[in-house]
Amino acid sequence: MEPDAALVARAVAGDREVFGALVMRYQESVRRVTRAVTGNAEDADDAAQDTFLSALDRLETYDPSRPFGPWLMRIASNAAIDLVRRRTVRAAQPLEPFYASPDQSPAAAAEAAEIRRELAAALADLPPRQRAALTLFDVEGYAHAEIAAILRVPEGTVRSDVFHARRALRKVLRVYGPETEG
Amino acid sequence: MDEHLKRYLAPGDDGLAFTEAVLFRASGALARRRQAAAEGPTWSLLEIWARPWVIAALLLLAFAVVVPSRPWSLGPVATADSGLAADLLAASNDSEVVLSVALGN
Repeated sequence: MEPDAALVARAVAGDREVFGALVMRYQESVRRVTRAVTGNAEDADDAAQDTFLSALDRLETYDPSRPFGPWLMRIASNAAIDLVRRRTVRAAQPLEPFYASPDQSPAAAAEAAEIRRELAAALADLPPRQRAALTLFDVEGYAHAEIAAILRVPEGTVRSDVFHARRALRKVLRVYGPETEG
Repeated sequence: MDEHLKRYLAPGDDGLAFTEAVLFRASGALARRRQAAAEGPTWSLLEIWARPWVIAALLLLAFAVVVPSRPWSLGPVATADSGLAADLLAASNDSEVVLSVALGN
Protein backbone atom coordinates (compact mmCIF):
# COMPACT_ATOMS: atom_id res chain seq x y z
CA MET A 1 0.00 0.00 0.00
CA GLU A 2 1.38 3.36 -1.01
CA PRO A 3 2.20 5.57 2.00
CA ASP A 4 -0.10 8.50 2.74
CA ALA A 5 2.66 11.07 2.21
CA ALA A 6 3.31 9.76 -1.31
CA LEU A 7 -0.40 9.91 -2.14
CA VAL A 8 -0.62 13.44 -0.77
CA ALA A 9 2.38 14.52 -2.85
CA ARG A 10 0.63 13.27 -5.98
CA ALA A 11 -2.76 14.67 -4.96
CA VAL A 12 -1.19 18.12 -4.67
CA ALA A 13 -0.75 18.01 -8.45
CA GLY A 14 -4.50 17.40 -8.85
CA ASP A 15 -4.43 13.66 -9.56
CA ARG A 16 -8.09 12.70 -9.28
CA GLU A 17 -7.46 8.99 -8.91
CA VAL A 18 -4.92 9.49 -6.14
CA PHE A 19 -7.13 11.89 -4.24
CA GLY A 20 -9.95 9.38 -4.60
CA ALA A 21 -7.69 6.70 -3.10
CA LEU A 22 -7.01 8.96 -0.12
CA VAL A 23 -10.73 9.56 0.35
CA MET A 24 -11.46 5.82 0.15
CA ARG A 25 -8.72 5.07 2.65
CA TYR A 26 -10.04 7.49 5.27
CA GLN A 27 -13.73 7.88 4.52
CA GLU A 28 -14.85 5.30 7.04
CA SER A 29 -12.91 6.78 9.97
CA VAL A 30 -13.89 10.33 9.07
CA ARG A 31 -17.55 9.40 8.70
CA ARG A 32 -17.56 7.56 12.04
CA VAL A 33 -16.24 10.67 13.78
CA THR A 34 -18.66 13.00 12.04
CA ARG A 35 -21.55 10.63 12.74
CA ALA A 36 -20.63 10.54 16.42
CA VAL A 37 -20.46 14.32 16.63
CA THR A 38 -23.54 15.22 14.57
CA GLY A 39 -25.69 12.22 15.49
CA ASN A 40 -27.27 12.30 12.07
CA ALA A 41 -26.24 10.46 8.92
CA GLU A 42 -26.97 13.29 6.46
CA ASP A 43 -25.24 15.98 8.51
CA ALA A 44 -22.37 13.58 9.13
CA ASP A 45 -21.80 12.99 5.44
CA ASP A 46 -22.04 16.73 4.74
CA ALA A 47 -19.35 17.35 7.34
CA ALA A 48 -17.26 14.43 6.06
CA GLN A 49 -17.40 15.75 2.49
CA ASP A 50 -16.47 19.21 3.72
CA THR A 51 -13.56 17.60 5.55
CA PHE A 52 -12.06 16.14 2.38
CA LEU A 53 -12.65 19.31 0.36
CA SER A 54 -11.05 21.39 3.08
CA ALA A 55 -8.14 18.95 3.26
CA LEU A 56 -7.67 19.26 -0.51
CA ASP A 57 -7.58 23.05 -0.21
CA ARG A 58 -4.82 22.93 2.36
CA LEU A 59 -2.78 19.91 1.31
CA GLU A 60 0.30 22.14 1.16
CA THR A 61 0.08 22.71 4.90
CA TYR A 62 0.33 18.99 5.65
CA ASP A 63 3.74 18.01 7.01
CA PRO A 64 4.66 14.69 5.32
CA SER A 65 6.94 13.75 8.21
CA ARG A 66 3.87 13.40 10.43
CA PRO A 67 1.00 10.90 10.14
CA PHE A 68 -1.83 11.95 7.85
CA GLY A 69 -4.66 10.50 9.97
CA PRO A 70 -4.52 12.91 12.92
CA TRP A 71 -4.12 15.85 10.53
CA LEU A 72 -7.28 14.79 8.70
CA MET A 73 -9.13 14.01 11.93
CA ARG A 74 -8.50 17.51 13.17
CA ILE A 75 -10.22 18.88 10.08
CA ALA A 76 -13.04 16.34 10.45
CA SER A 77 -13.65 17.12 14.13
CA ASN A 78 -13.68 20.84 13.45
CA ALA A 79 -16.01 20.43 10.48
CA ALA A 80 -18.48 18.34 12.47
CA ILE A 81 -18.37 20.48 15.62
CA ASP A 82 -18.71 23.66 13.53
CA LEU A 83 -21.67 22.18 11.71
CA VAL A 84 -23.39 21.30 14.98
CA ARG A 85 -22.84 24.83 16.29
CA ARG A 86 -23.75 26.56 13.02
CA ARG A 87 -26.97 24.92 12.16
CA THR A 88 -29.91 23.54 14.00
CA VAL A 89 -29.00 19.99 13.34
CA ARG A 90 -31.68 17.57 12.34
CA ALA A 91 -33.15 15.86 15.37
CA ALA A 92 -30.87 13.09 16.53
CA GLN A 93 -32.25 9.84 15.23
CA PRO A 94 -30.69 6.45 15.69
CA LEU A 95 -28.31 5.94 12.79
CA GLU A 96 -29.42 3.36 10.27
CA PRO A 97 -29.20 -0.30 11.28
CA PHE A 98 -25.62 -1.46 11.39
CA TYR A 99 -25.74 -5.13 12.09
CA ALA A 100 -29.03 -6.24 10.78
CA SER A 101 -28.46 -9.42 8.87
CA PRO A 102 -30.91 -11.77 7.19
CA ASP A 103 -30.01 -14.59 9.55
CA GLN A 104 -30.55 -12.48 12.67
CA SER A 105 -33.31 -13.74 14.92
CA PRO A 106 -36.20 -11.39 15.69
CA ALA A 107 -35.07 -11.22 19.31
CA ALA A 108 -31.49 -10.28 18.34
CA ALA A 109 -32.75 -7.70 15.86
CA ALA A 110 -34.95 -6.17 18.53
CA GLU A 111 -32.05 -6.00 20.96
CA ALA A 112 -29.84 -4.41 18.32
CA ALA A 113 -32.50 -1.81 17.64
CA GLU A 114 -32.77 -1.12 21.34
CA ILE A 115 -29.01 -0.66 21.63
CA ARG A 116 -29.10 1.78 18.72
CA ARG A 117 -31.80 3.82 20.36
CA GLU A 118 -29.99 3.85 23.70
CA LEU A 119 -26.68 4.76 22.09
CA ALA A 120 -28.26 7.56 20.08
CA ALA A 121 -29.85 8.99 23.21
CA ALA A 122 -26.66 8.67 25.28
CA LEU A 123 -24.51 10.27 22.59
CA ALA A 124 -27.01 13.06 22.07
CA ASP A 125 -26.69 13.98 25.73
CA LEU A 126 -22.92 14.46 25.43
CA PRO A 127 -21.31 17.71 24.30
CA PRO A 128 -19.92 17.48 20.72
CA ARG A 129 -16.29 17.54 21.86
CA GLN A 130 -16.87 14.61 24.23
CA ARG A 131 -18.44 12.63 21.41
CA ALA A 132 -15.44 13.34 19.23
CA ALA A 133 -12.97 12.46 21.99
CA LEU A 134 -14.76 9.21 22.80
CA THR A 135 -14.88 8.11 19.16
CA LEU A 136 -11.28 9.02 18.49
CA PHE A 137 -10.20 7.08 21.58
CA ASP A 138 -12.47 4.05 21.70
CA VAL A 139 -13.24 3.53 18.02
CA GLU A 140 -10.33 5.02 16.09
CA GLY A 141 -7.69 4.05 18.63
CA TYR A 142 -5.87 7.34 19.02
CA ALA A 143 -3.94 8.06 22.22
CA HIS A 144 -4.95 10.83 24.60
CA ALA A 145 -2.01 12.99 23.50
CA GLU A 146 -2.92 12.59 19.83
CA ILE A 147 -6.55 13.47 20.53
CA ALA A 148 -5.40 16.51 22.48
CA ALA A 149 -3.50 17.65 19.38
CA ILE A 150 -6.44 16.85 17.11
CA LEU A 151 -8.98 18.73 19.23
CA ARG A 152 -6.46 21.36 20.38
CA VAL A 153 -7.29 20.95 24.04
CA PRO A 154 -5.06 19.93 26.96
CA GLU A 155 -4.48 16.20 27.40
CA GLY A 156 -6.16 16.32 30.81
CA THR A 157 -9.30 17.66 29.17
CA VAL A 158 -9.28 14.75 26.74
CA ARG A 159 -8.91 12.25 29.59
CA SER A 160 -11.81 13.88 31.38
CA ASP A 161 -13.94 13.96 28.22
CA VAL A 162 -13.31 10.29 27.49
CA PHE A 163 -13.96 9.32 31.10
CA HIS A 164 -17.30 11.11 31.29
CA ALA A 165 -18.42 9.93 27.87
CA ARG A 166 -17.56 6.31 28.63
CA ARG A 167 -19.34 6.48 31.94
CA ALA A 168 -22.47 7.82 30.24
CA LEU A 169 -22.40 5.09 27.60
CA ARG A 170 -21.66 2.33 30.10
CA LYS A 171 -24.81 3.18 31.98
CA VAL A 172 -26.74 2.55 28.80
CA LEU A 173 -24.88 -0.55 27.68
CA ARG A 174 -24.46 -2.29 31.03
CA VAL A 175 -27.82 -3.96 30.69
CA TYR A 176 -26.69 -5.77 27.54
CA GLY A 177 -24.22 -8.11 29.22
CA PRO A 178 -20.53 -8.46 30.04
CA GLU A 179 -19.36 -7.80 26.47
CA THR A 180 -20.68 -4.29 26.71
CA GLU A 181 -18.57 -3.46 29.73
CA GLY A 182 -15.47 -2.92 27.52
CA MET B 1 -18.54 -1.01 24.40
CA ASP B 2 -15.97 -0.21 21.71
CA GLU B 3 -17.43 -2.79 19.38
CA HIS B 4 -21.02 -1.62 19.89
CA LEU B 5 -20.01 1.96 19.30
CA LYS B 6 -17.94 1.10 16.25
CA ARG B 7 -20.77 -0.84 14.68
CA TYR B 8 -23.28 1.85 15.58
CA LEU B 9 -21.18 4.55 13.93
CA ALA B 10 -20.20 2.51 10.88
CA PRO B 11 -21.58 4.08 7.69
CA GLY B 12 -22.76 0.67 6.51
CA ASP B 13 -21.76 1.10 2.86
CA ASP B 14 -18.64 0.50 0.80
CA GLY B 15 -17.82 4.21 0.60
CA LEU B 16 -17.82 4.32 -3.21
CA ALA B 17 -20.83 6.62 -3.53
CA PHE B 18 -19.43 8.88 -0.84
CA THR B 19 -16.04 9.03 -2.58
CA GLU B 20 -17.67 9.80 -5.93
CA ALA B 21 -19.65 12.62 -4.30
CA VAL B 22 -16.45 14.09 -2.83
CA LEU B 23 -14.62 13.81 -6.16
CA PHE B 24 -17.54 15.47 -7.94
CA ARG B 25 -17.45 18.42 -5.54
CA ALA B 26 -13.65 18.53 -5.73
CA SER B 27 -13.46 18.45 -9.52
CA GLY B 28 -12.94 22.21 -9.85
CA ALA B 29 -10.18 22.32 -7.24
CA LEU B 30 -8.48 19.28 -8.75
CA ALA B 31 -8.60 20.83 -12.24
CA ARG B 32 -7.04 24.05 -10.91
CA ARG B 33 -4.30 22.01 -9.26
CA ARG B 34 -3.60 20.12 -12.49
CA GLN B 35 -3.40 23.39 -14.41
CA ALA B 36 -1.10 24.92 -11.82
CA ALA B 37 1.09 21.81 -11.92
CA ALA B 38 1.28 21.98 -15.71
CA GLU B 39 2.26 25.65 -15.74
CA GLY B 40 3.99 25.71 -12.44
CA PRO B 41 7.54 24.48 -13.04
CA THR B 42 8.51 27.22 -15.55
CA TRP B 43 7.28 29.98 -13.35
CA SER B 44 8.63 28.48 -10.19
CA LEU B 45 12.05 28.00 -11.82
CA LEU B 46 11.97 31.61 -12.91
CA GLU B 47 11.00 32.64 -9.46
CA ILE B 48 13.63 30.57 -7.74
CA TRP B 49 16.60 31.02 -10.08
CA ALA B 50 15.95 34.09 -12.17
CA ARG B 51 14.74 36.47 -9.55
CA PRO B 52 18.09 36.89 -7.74
CA TRP B 53 19.88 37.39 -11.05
CA VAL B 54 17.37 39.92 -12.26
CA ILE B 55 17.65 41.80 -8.99
CA ALA B 56 21.47 41.64 -9.09
CA ALA B 57 21.53 42.90 -12.69
CA LEU B 58 19.22 45.78 -11.81
CA LEU B 59 21.39 46.67 -8.83
CA LEU B 60 24.54 46.62 -10.98
CA LEU B 61 22.87 48.78 -13.62
CA ALA B 62 21.73 51.26 -11.00
CA PHE B 63 25.21 51.28 -9.50
CA ALA B 64 26.80 51.88 -12.91
CA VAL B 65 24.46 54.78 -13.60
CA VAL B 66 24.73 56.39 -10.20
CA VAL B 67 28.42 56.02 -9.46
CA PRO B 68 29.86 58.26 -12.23
CA SER B 69 27.74 61.18 -11.06
CA ARG B 70 29.13 60.96 -7.55
CA PRO B 71 31.43 63.85 -6.52
CA TRP B 72 34.38 61.59 -5.80
CA SER B 73 34.09 60.10 -9.25
CA LEU B 74 34.62 63.54 -10.88
CA GLY B 75 38.23 63.68 -9.71
CA PRO B 76 39.96 62.34 -12.83
CA VAL B 77 37.75 64.38 -15.17
CA ALA B 78 38.49 67.52 -13.22
CA THR B 79 42.19 66.75 -13.35
CA ALA B 80 42.01 66.42 -17.10
CA ASP B 81 40.15 69.68 -17.33
CA SER B 82 42.80 71.30 -15.16
CA GLY B 83 45.56 69.94 -17.35
CA LEU B 84 43.89 71.26 -20.45
CA ALA B 85 43.40 74.63 -18.85
CA ALA B 86 47.01 74.66 -17.81
CA ASP B 87 48.04 73.91 -21.40
CA LEU B 88 45.84 76.66 -22.68
CA LEU B 89 47.19 78.93 -20.06
CA ALA B 90 50.70 78.00 -21.05
CA ALA B 91 49.88 78.61 -24.68
CA SER B 92 48.41 81.89 -23.80
CA ASN B 93 51.56 82.78 -21.96
CA ASP B 94 53.59 81.80 -24.95
CA SER B 95 51.45 83.99 -27.18
CA GLU B 96 51.93 86.82 -24.83
CA VAL B 97 55.60 86.15 -24.88
CA VAL B 98 55.62 86.09 -28.68
CA LEU B 99 53.48 89.21 -28.80
CA SER B 100 55.73 90.91 -26.35
CA VAL B 101 58.72 89.95 -28.40
CA ALA B 102 57.02 91.22 -31.58
CA LEU B 103 56.21 94.48 -29.94
CA GLY B 104 59.74 94.75 -28.81
CA ASN B 105 59.01 94.76 -25.15
